[in-house]
Amino acid sequence: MALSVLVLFGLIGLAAVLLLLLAFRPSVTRSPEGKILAFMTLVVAPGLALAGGAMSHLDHSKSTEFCLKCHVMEKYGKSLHVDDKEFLAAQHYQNNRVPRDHACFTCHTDYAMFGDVRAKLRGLRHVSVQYFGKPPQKIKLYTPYNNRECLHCHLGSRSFEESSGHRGEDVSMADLKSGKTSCLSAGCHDVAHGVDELEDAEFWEPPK
Amino acid sequence: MSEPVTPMGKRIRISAFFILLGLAVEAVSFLWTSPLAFFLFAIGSGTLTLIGIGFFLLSLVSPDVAKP
Repeated sequence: MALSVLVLFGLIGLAAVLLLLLAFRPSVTRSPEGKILAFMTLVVAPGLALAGGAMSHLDHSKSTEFCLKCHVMEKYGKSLHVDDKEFLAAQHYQNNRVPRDHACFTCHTDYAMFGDVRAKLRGLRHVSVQYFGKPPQKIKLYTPYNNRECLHCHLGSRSFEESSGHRGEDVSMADLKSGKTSCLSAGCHDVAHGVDELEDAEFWEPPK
Repeated sequence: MSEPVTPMGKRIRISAFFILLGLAVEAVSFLWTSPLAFFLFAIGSGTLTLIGIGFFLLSLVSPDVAKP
């Protein structure tokens, strides 16, 4: 259990003791110190516990483990272990181009203002469909994948800037940066997860 | 529980009850590993705790309980 969660448990425990004191001895609030205690116990402590809880839950929801809990995501989790350089997500995951414990979130958040909030709202929608609706057989992105998410890390890196594929006759660097040509275009990095090709694939396991 | 309860004391008890319930639900949401735990936290714990806080703050400005 994370230290932040343990601290929250401590805060919840302390607040619970003080709440019980106020509930059984409300007369303590007659003195000025008692009024301050009541305000701290009934407003400040629960407010802090809520804010801390929200942050902790949001942080946990960024983990790869969290994303792969839903049945519909199983194939996508499996695709991270494909032993094939054509599989973009697998290459990023296996070569630590994304942190393995935050792999899904790193590529699927929006690197823009309030991008994390938008990503989490989409996540809430996914969870609600998973548990209270009917998840589709084949899932897809709401909008085409934005080059901005790739460029957030790759822009300026030598391998990206000097790659002949990024400076060819058909693809110019300007088109990639402006989003005119998608990084996932056919013939470029079009196999992101390749979940339809997993049956014949070989898999890599990280050394233990 | 034996001391006489004023209207303010009664409202403090009601607030404390809701907040305690909200905090208990929050604690449970941390022990549950399902993605639904976030829903439990946001809807269950958030609502109960905010009701408790709001009830206490409203009782502070309520004219009938101006003096505890």
